[in-house]
Amino acid sequence: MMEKEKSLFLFQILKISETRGSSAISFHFNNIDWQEIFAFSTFHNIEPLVFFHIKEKGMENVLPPNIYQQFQKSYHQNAACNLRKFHELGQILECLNKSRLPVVILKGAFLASCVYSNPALRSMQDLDILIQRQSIPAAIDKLIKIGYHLAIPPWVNSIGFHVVLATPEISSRLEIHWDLTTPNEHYKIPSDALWASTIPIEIENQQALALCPEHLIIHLCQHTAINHLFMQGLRPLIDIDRTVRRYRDDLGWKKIISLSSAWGLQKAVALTLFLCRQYLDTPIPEPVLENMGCGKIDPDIIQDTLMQVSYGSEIADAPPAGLFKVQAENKIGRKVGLFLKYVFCLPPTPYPTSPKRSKLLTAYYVFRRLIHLIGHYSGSIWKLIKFNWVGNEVRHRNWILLRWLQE
Amino acid sequence: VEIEMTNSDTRKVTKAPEVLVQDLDGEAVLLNLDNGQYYGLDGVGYRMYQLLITSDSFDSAYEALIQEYDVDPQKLHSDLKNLLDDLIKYGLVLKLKQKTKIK
Repeated sequence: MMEKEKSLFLFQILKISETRGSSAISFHFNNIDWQEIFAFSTFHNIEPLVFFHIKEKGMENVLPPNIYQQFQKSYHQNAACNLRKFHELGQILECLNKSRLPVVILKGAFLASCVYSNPALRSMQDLDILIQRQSIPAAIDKLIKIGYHLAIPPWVNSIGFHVVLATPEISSRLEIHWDLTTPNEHYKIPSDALWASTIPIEIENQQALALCPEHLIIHLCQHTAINHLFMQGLRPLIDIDRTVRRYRDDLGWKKIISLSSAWGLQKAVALTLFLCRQYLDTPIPEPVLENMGCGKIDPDIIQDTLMQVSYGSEIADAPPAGLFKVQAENKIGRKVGLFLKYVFCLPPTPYPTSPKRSKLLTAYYVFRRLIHLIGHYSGSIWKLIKFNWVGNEVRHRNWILLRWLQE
Repeated sequence: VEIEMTNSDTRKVTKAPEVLVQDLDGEAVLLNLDNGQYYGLDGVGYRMYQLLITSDSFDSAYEALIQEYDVDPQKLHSDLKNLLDDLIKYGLVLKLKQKTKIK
């Protein structure tokens, strides 16, 4: 089974049927290598969800006993990991609520607790929260008092929209965002608009906020299409599908269309929603995609994107996404410009707690950033250059997709 | 059904305070925050756990289970005992009192 076929098979398992009896899976189970499917699910961080839907569809009997046990173990392991992370999130919220600092719960933690039907179904790497820019210094101070520290020195972590904290005993990281988009991009999600439409939620008996469903969907599409060029695999599409289904009756599709356009994200949103509808039967009304203003999506783009989704996780430990923008460019002058902008992150965006930078401090930033890049990415960058690691095909797809999304 | 047992077990246990429980639509995971140990329970295991922490004793939990499941009594007794031993070993439940009577 090729990667694309495995993706299509998993899409069928993960599809939520609107009508009883219509979810028949057209694959012959005799031909399925379940060990391969388990490995592929793990690759895409969706094995708890696959296990859940296999059981829900009454297909657990087709799994060989050892594969059943592997799926079940992953499911339980993810539940335990998420329990710990939610406990940690509860402490973070308690700390920030005491200081009256409003917090928006982003991505994984929100999706796992409020969108998926049980919190063990969605794996989480980091905890992501959004805090108002002016409150970042106070939030960091409060969190340092309960045991957190800056995981990456601010001079290095100057990509301009978040700061990363960690605790010594817990391996997960806390990313505190003050913005959802990096500076210097062709699109912009204004933080003020996000804050103005937040909705109250409760997590771990603590009050918190979440993005309104329309903003959440646009953000998820932006993150999937632009930040990761669909290389995070199947999980982001499932996130969007489940979010649409969760808020189905309350979704303002007109708002999604107009904001996507106003924020420069209409192609990212249109393509991502198209894939969700195509492969997961996501209930998106037909006029939504027609009214996105980007016309009929080229079938080659759709096929390229499906390949990105299928092979995506293969390069999950790849160099910074910006490097692909550099790699996709032909002209050397443009390459250097893109490298400085997207990989080296110049000019450095002021970190909210940092004093205004002098030339000396900027030079220090450049030095630290260089050391950081060499330390973290030298191996993978070397592979990319020397051995054409991800291959011409992937490079070509990245280039095509980037151009299409930015045109 | 009458089974022959040498001991009656009046152990009563309760969930340890540092343990978190996640219900997973019939299955469950127990996580000990102090040592990071977790224990996954399938549907039957979770039912056993629920009865162990809510019953007056191990024997009461066993009696309730034997009414619910069509299962070999010896096997059930042994599985329940093994589960309880594991839960104690991993610090997931605390013994409230322990008393053994010889029949």
